[in-house]
Amino acid sequence: MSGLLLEHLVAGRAARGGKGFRLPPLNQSVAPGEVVAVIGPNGTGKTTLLKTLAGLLPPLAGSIHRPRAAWLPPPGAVSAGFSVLHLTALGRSHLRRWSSGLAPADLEAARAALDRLEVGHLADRPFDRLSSGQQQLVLIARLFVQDAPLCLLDEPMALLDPAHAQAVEAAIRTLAREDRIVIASTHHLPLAARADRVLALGPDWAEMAAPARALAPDRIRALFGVEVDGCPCCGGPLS
Amino acid sequence: MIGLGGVLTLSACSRGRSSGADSRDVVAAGSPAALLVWAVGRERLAGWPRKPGAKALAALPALAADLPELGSLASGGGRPADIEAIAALKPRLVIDYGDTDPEYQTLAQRMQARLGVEWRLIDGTLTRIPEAIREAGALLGAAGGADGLADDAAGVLERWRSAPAGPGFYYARGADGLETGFRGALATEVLEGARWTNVAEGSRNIGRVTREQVAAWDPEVLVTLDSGFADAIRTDPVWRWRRNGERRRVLLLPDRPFGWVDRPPSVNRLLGCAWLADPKGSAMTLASLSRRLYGMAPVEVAQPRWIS
Amino acid sequence: MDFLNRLTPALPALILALLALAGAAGVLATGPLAISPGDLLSALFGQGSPDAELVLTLRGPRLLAALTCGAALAGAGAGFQILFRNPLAAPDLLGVSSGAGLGAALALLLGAGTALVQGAAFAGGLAAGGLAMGCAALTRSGDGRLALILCGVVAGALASAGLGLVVIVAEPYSQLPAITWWLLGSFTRATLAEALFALVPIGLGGAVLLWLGFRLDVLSLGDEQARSLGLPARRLRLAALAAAALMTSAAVALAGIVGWIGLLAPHAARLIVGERAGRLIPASMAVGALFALVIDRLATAFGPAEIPVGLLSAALGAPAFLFLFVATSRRS
Repeated sequence: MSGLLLEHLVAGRAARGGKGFRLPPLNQSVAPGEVVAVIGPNGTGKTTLLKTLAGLLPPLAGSIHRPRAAWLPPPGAVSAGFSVLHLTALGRSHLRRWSSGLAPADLEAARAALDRLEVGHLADRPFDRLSSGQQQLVLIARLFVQDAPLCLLDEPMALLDPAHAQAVEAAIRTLAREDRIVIASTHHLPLAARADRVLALGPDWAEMAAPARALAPDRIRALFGVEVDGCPCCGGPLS
Repeated sequence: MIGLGGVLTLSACSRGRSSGADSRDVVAAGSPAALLVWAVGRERLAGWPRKPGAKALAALPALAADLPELGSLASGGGRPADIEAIAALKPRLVIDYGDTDPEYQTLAQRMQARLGVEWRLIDGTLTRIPEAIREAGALLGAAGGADGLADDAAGVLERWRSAPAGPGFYYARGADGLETGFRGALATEVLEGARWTNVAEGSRNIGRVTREQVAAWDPEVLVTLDSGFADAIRTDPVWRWRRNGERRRVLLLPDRPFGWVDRPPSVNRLLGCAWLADPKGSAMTLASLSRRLYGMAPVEVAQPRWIS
Repeated sequence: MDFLNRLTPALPALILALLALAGAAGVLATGPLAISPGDLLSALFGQGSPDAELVLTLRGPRLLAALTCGAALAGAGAGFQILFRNPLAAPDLLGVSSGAGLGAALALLLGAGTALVQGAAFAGGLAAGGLAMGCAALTRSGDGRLALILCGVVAGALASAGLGLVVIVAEPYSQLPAITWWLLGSFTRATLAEALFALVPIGLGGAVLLWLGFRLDVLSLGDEQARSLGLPARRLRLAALAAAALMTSAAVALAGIVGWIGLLAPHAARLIVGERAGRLIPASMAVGALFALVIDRLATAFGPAEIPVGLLSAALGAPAFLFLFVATSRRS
């Protein structure tokens, strides 16, 4: 199983009319089965980094050696009028290069994934009619169907109530347990605390470390510029 | 002989009159009026509402090509005229030739008020062409020549009205021939008045029909002004064969410089009337009419063609 | 209607096909030339009377033209509606219809024959579509859907302005009526050769859209998601747009500008088969073909003068669209 290898990767957006920005160079490797949380203030480029890792944006410098990647946009970014089952089954699009339709096996895989996440009963509902939490679970089911070795999730816990947040976190763990690399950006620091490693993106620095170190009060202060003794977004304990 | 001589003298006289720009003080409101003015007093015509095409200009005297295109003041379509440009020409008279319904009378009054120029609306009915020619002649100060032309026109119409009955026909307009004039339409008036039977009935004026409808009507003759259409259907069995197995005859009427039965609905229709009154023996009348109406030389006069 | 889907996926398509067949028989069997159905049937096998043969020669191409144009416009409309996630998207989105109209009008102005007019219309439609897509590509904004819509509006507006100019310059007694009638639309002026010819681009475009199927659903999610799901988004989107432009250009070249079919048929089809592109595209085509048959029959049902199908499709299509819209919004 291949891992993720970043060599002097500089992610960012090329300056077009002076609006570009660059992230600090990254030299990292992530092994299959690892969960990496990306934290940092709004606007430091977490989404840009994730998109670059997913292959959706070209890196400004350096190289990425990665397996096939799947990208999950933040909640609310996906809108579709067709059924949940169909949306989930679309995760197998990469396998259907030339045929004119999805195979019954794709629908089976979709149903299985939905059942695993306990949203199987929503299979025939239009996707747009679900709540944010349900939609997020469906999209994660699609991640399972996609079966990509590298999963990149952009703020997967945003807008979710505690029940759905727990379910999503459990799903993330399962993704990783099945030998996938999971990299998720989040503001939800308890999630970061439970990850294997934390990548902190500051204004002009980046540091990958174990959660205990990355979430120490002095690092938090350096990163966000505020004093916290609990999670900034939900107030819960940090570790 | 004397008539011919008289015609030649008259045309020589009109050519001799000064054709300077000052004398071009009559504006034609639309194409029908332009043809009327051209026939009766062409040296006073200020310009064409729509300049005739190259083929038409080649058949007309050189004066035709010299006249500018002014645009149309009437509401019948074509590029609308720039009222200011017309006024700048300082015309003394505007002639409109066509429908004299009350709405057009009010239009005439409005235009007269706007332009400040005398606006005369002359009745364009086919059967009143002699009166129209005389009226135009009086307005343009060319009463002598106009009277002769009006007499000729009256004679043509007389013979046209008493023509023997003709075949059933379908009038094919447009490149695909599927636009037609139904019975009673202005476009087919010349043919119907010569007692040819228009097979197209059941609607009014101009309309589109299908080929199947034409086949159902099964006309004896197809009449068209479009040489393109006549060529295109030469080998088309749907058009050429009647239901009883006979070949359908196609009559291609000339449209140079202007159509003989239509396009525009003006004095040009006299040629169609003259020919229909006596297809075989009307060559002299046609030549004389063409000369008086257009200034065409006899050799230029085209002949209708029967295609079979 | 949901239970129909669960019953048999093929059932709605079957019903639509049967209705289309009935409609086709209707068009074939009625008209000003009175032919008995038996005679017509034997003419189909080459053994009918000359009159019946004539009728087939005349009604057959008309039927073919109506079916193919209706299907083409509906398919293109459905493709656009899915791709742009816009329920008001119509085949003229990229200005293709307007461009085709301009091409035909120019050809008529220059006195060309019918074949050349159709060719000019086809070229004009593709040119307008190409212009819109090219300009949108220049803007390089995200997945370009908004840019495409705007550039399509611009291309269409330019073509319409050109058309207005042609109308003013046209000779009012022969050219102008010809242009006007052409633009208003008719299925009856096509010959068999022309209808078969048009079948090539329409068939090609239709095949591409049908093959794209579920990929259109993926594309409707946006370029980023499409690429993340492993599809070459840009190329597929280009293929979809080109296919729709091809179909629309060919349909307008054959029959003139017939609006509302492309807007209405996908909405009606959506009520029957749901939102998935794999089902919506073929169902829309069937509904479009049916609708075209209906308005073709009505065009010559009121006397010998033909009512242009462009007018009929608006007269029937607009109220039908309103009805559908109200019905669906009441449901949700």
